[in-house]
Amino acid sequence: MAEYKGIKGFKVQTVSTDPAASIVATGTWASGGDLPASKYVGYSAGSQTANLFAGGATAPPANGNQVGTTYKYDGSSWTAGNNLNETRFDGAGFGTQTAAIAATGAKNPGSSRTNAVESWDGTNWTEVAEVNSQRYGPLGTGTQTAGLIAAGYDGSYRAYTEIWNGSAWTEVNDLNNAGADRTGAGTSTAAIGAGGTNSAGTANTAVAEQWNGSSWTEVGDLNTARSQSASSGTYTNAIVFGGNAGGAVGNTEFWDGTSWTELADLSTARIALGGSPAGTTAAGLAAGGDIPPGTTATEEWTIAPPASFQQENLGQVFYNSTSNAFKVTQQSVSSGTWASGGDLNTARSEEGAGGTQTSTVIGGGRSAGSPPGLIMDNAETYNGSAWTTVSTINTARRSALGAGDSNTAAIIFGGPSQASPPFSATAINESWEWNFVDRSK
Amino acid sequence: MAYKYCTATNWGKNFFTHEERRNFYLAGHPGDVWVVGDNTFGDQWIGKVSGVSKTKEEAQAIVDGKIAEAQAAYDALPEEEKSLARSRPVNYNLP
Repeated sequence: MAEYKGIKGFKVQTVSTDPAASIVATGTWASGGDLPASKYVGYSAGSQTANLFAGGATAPPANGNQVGTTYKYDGSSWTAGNNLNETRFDGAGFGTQTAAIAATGAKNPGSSRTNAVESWDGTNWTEVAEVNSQRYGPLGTGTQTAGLIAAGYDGSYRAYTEIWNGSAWTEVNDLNNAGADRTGAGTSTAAIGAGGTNSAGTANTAVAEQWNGSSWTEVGDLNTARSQSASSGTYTNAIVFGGNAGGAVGNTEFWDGTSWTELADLSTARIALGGSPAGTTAAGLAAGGDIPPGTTATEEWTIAPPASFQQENLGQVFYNSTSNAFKVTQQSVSSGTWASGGDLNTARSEEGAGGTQTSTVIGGGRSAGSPPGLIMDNAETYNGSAWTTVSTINTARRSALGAGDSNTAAIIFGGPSQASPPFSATAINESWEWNFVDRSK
Repeated sequence: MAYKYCTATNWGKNFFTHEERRNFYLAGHPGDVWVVGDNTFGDQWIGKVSGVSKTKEEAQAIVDGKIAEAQAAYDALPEEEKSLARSRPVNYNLP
């Protein structure tokens, strides 16, 4: 005899936990290749698959156990590179695996503070211009030629901020909250700093501040107050993980530009670990740290493949007896958002462009100001975070069209050379291959 | 949630994977102590890493010993060094 379930029944999927609310919430930590030796309070740079971890110490106490070693990670294993010139720890590292900065820190004897800065070219460390205020425990972020350090301890807890332009450090506006041991993400013109000690060094804080290139603004607090954590991402899209919350923690938090959300924890809680300053929220790295004691353990943060991601949609399931089907209401979630990127070096409009979000070249355009702006031959390339002025195009023009797949292979074409009527259309094309080469006609 | 306890040395890549992290609770502690979610996946992982089973009390004793070592090292530091080390390691209880 037929059962009611067989006539009218539907299979409803049963799950033990909710689907992820966002793709970054699908992320988990998995073990990576172990460091050659334990390391904490070191200088981090790079991404999950091209990371750099230099200096620091093998285990507490840092003074007496400090090292100048440099380790490079390829996504699978670590190899040793050339040492820092000055053995030190607890400063700020930022940049990439092949172009990084290690700034300030502490060194023997007596953990004396240093204002020394070294620049890494992928093979060697070279001493460069010193910061203005020696300190340890600052946050650092940016690139080898455009960086930022802020906060730190020089006998007192400070709010100092300094900007690096590739050749010199300049003091700029202070943080709103003094302290040390914050972690930072972003660029020298758009950064976020989170956590750290209070201004007395007596407690950890959840404070977060955003830097817009000229001043700091307090934003939403971390869920877990802590210091000496690490990070990956940008100033509006970052993860912060690990740290000291009165003991080692493995908490991972996601910053979406507005608020912090708890994500999956590190497998092993740790303090003063290395991060991936040039990484993303989709792929991060946690290296070493103090459990205690110091550890060689590495963990890799990875989100689920976007193709397999099924987002949770809030709504109500209902049964429509006419169509004989279960249906669901849902709240629509926008699939994309805009976040600010690095500013152009030269303001303009009507430029020609080719490339992608992280590898773009633009040329020409109309200069800023009331009409009619000047017609420009200026060109710039973008690497996903900063614009660099490159050689000019051969024929100044505006309203040109562009195409291409990177900042090393693109073309712009057409566009008049006049700023005001009468306009004269042009058929001139210019292709870009590392440098603009006029292949027109 | 029920847990199992073991010691195992983290060998690095693939010691635990993303899939394993999704399938069971896993947390590492001082002394190579691992707290593992008590389910089939957790059992399989303990086997994979040749984990040495411990009772909760045994695991806690290992963790306490490592933290005591770290506390002794901290206490021996000069005051200036303590400010650099930030905070004295604290005892805690395993879940």
